[in-house]
Amino acid sequence: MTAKPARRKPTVPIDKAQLTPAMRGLPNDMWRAAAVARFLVKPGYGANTEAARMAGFGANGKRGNLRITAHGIFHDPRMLEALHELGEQYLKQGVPDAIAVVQEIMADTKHKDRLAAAKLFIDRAHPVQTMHTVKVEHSPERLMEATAEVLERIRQLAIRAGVDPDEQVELARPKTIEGTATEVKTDEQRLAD
Amino acid sequence: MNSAWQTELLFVAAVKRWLQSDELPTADRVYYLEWLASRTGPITPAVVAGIQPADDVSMAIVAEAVRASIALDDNGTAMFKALEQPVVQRLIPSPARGGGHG
Repeated sequence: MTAKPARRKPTVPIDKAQLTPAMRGLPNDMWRAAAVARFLVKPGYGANTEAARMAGFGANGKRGNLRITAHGIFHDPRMLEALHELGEQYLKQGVPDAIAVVQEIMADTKHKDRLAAAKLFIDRAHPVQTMHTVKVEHSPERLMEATAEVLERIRQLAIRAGVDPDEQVELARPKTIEGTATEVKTDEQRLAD
Repeated sequence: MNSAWQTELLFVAAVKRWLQSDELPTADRVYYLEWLASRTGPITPAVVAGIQPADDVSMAIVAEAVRASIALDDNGTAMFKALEQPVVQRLIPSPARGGGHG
């Protein structure tokens, strides 16, 4: 007795309530999953193979075999018809290839954080650019007065962030200019002298 | 901790370096503290507290990586690619060792 080839559970959701005619005409749900997956994978070389893998084809098999299977599936006239219909459906919904990008972002929980981190360093690059020669540039959106409320906020944030709150408040406190005040006479006063 | 988190430790060290400056505009200080305070996952306040401010070498590496991304206008892709190189990752402060940069 020959063992049935192992199948992975498809990782692609299929909305069976809204199958297009060509999708219904595909041999089984793995094929339908492959059709949907083809719009989720990164376009380009290897996209067919990756879509087939996502659909559950090629479990326990060699990558080369999966590539052959994927070629067969995605060149089948029934699949081509299904892809055509799905593509039209996505276009009508206004979510063509961008769907792949959204899926990628959703799949990677750190993606948003990484982008935010990148922006921290890219958008506010001036401390990096001026780390040796301190040159402070005040743009309107970055002006903030170190009021008592702001200093308290700095203290609270510093505690939450795990940095020395007293040091942060001290560094943020407005600087007093030391010196001796001298009276400046007007031109008239100087002439009178 | 994977390379993405390791790189974030380098960012933490760099931000702590900037926070040491008394020339930092107040708005920037608040912004950076908010960023530090909003770290998640393994970057806990205790971990942040254990990271020393970045040294000159680390800051120079970050600066070069940032410049690459600014030049390419790629939202930080080149920066992360550079900072996640194994040779750079070895410079990243380890909270387990209590930092190491300063």
